Amino acid sequence: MTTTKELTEKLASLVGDVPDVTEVVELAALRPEEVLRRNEKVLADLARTAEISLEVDKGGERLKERTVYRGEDGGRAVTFHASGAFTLLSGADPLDDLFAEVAPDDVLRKAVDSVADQLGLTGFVDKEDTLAFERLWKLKAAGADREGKLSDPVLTRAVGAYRQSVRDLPVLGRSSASVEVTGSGRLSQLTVTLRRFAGDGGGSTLEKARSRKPDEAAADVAARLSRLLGGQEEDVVLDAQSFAFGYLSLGRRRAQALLAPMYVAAVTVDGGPERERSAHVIAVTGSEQQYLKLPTGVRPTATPRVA
Amino acid sequence: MAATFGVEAIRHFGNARANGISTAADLTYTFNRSNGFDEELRDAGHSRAWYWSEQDCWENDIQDSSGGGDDATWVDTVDLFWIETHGNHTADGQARLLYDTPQDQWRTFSGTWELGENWNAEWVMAYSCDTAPLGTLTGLWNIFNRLHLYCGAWEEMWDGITTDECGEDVADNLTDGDTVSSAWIDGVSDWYFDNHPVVVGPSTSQTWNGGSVIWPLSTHNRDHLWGEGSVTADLSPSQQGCLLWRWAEG
Repeated sequence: MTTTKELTEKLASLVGDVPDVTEVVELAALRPEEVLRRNEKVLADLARTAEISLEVDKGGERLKERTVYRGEDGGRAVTFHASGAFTLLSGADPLDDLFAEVAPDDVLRKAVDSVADQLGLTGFVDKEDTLAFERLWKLKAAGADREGKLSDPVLTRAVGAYRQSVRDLPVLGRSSASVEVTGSGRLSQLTVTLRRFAGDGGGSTLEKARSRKPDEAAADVAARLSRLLGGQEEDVVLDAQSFAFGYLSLGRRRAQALLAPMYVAAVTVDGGPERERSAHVIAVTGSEQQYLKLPTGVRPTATPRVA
Repeated sequence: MAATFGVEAIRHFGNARANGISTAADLTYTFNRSNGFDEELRDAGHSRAWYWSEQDCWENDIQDSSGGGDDATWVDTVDLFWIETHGNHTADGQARLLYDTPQDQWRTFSGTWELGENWNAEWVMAYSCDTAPLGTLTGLWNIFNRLHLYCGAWEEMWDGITTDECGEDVADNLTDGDTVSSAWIDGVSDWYFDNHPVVVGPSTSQTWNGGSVIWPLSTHNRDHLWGEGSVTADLSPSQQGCLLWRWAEG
């Protein structure tokens, strides 16, 4: 029902302007001990500002990929050793301190921005980079009784997602930062996943890379989806949801030496009401030369089943 | 007290496609997630009962034994069951999951599930698209026979480079002491692509409170993984006064 040509054209139409040349940017290579030292100071300041009881300087529990700090009132902080990403949680029960009503988005936006400002979120990136609001998320709850009577939905949390840009290009991937607030406007959770953190160093231009054309990258995405579908893409509806050009941040458990241009596509596959739907995020290189090695799908560690 | 868990994960669907059963695409990061979930839980001292992949995952593992399935040997013997495959739902709100081999069927329908009973299951986590749409969630009520929570998606769940660590994230949240509902919603969310997480489960008439739900009493607010915090009491169907759900939307 959708040809690879149609998908390619749709994707290419979504991407907007792509610069002819993009800088490949060096990232600081911090050892886990340096990451922990940096984050412990940042987390102590953040916890104090957000009035979260957490004595980070007493040290945390060092696990394989993360170090976890716990406070007496349920507060918690986590640092990811490889990436330097961190989270801070207040320990508030998830269904306490709800919003009195499902407030309009502009009101919720002010609530998350206000907490982000208090925490000094934009100060986490160097002056030549930016960290800007990207999207508002809402956590809600509702229910029904045995007779089918529905309760009114309640808004439990609002989440503001923020995106880092370097050299005027977004660093794509999970949100660069997210701020979750309660009904009374208190911070319940902060996540920070920045590949360039203020003061870390790095940032030099390693190379100037010639960008690939959007239609060429889109054709790569379509070809990859065709392989995933066993060549049966014309039996399904392929819907291109987005196609973005920028840098890419890998997962929180991965170190990364540089920022390089990438295209990131989001495509849904619909086999119809009697069959299956799926959703695929596919990244392909944004430059003629590939600089960043993407994570691959791994084999299962499952054991064979004996019937 | 440690939890026991089982894992089933399917990445390739070539057999289902070749037999004309489905047009489902293969996935890419299935085992990144399921391996990560398994490893993090085991590293924290929880106990894996089994981990099956690809065509070793069978439809009758979750089907109730009274209807010819074998949940009493598999899904209903563990506290927590993680499954990753393609999903969808029926018009009356049954979750539907696809397998790559017909053992006994190619698809399971949640109308054939009945979890908890006198066995063990507390929580089911399905990393699959669209198994629990918001408009028909009460169609899942039959699965809760002392099962506490079903964690699924109300529309798409994404397979890609921003969700390859979701299995580890959910497991880490659980073992760090988050509630089960928060562990799922936060763990599968990258706050970039919309993974539509939803958590569904029954509570008492006291919690329902005539429709003015007392949310702090809900299973969503109180249930943690065994050994990581409090766990609410099992609710038999006669003790269930309401079905509650919690979700994220962007």
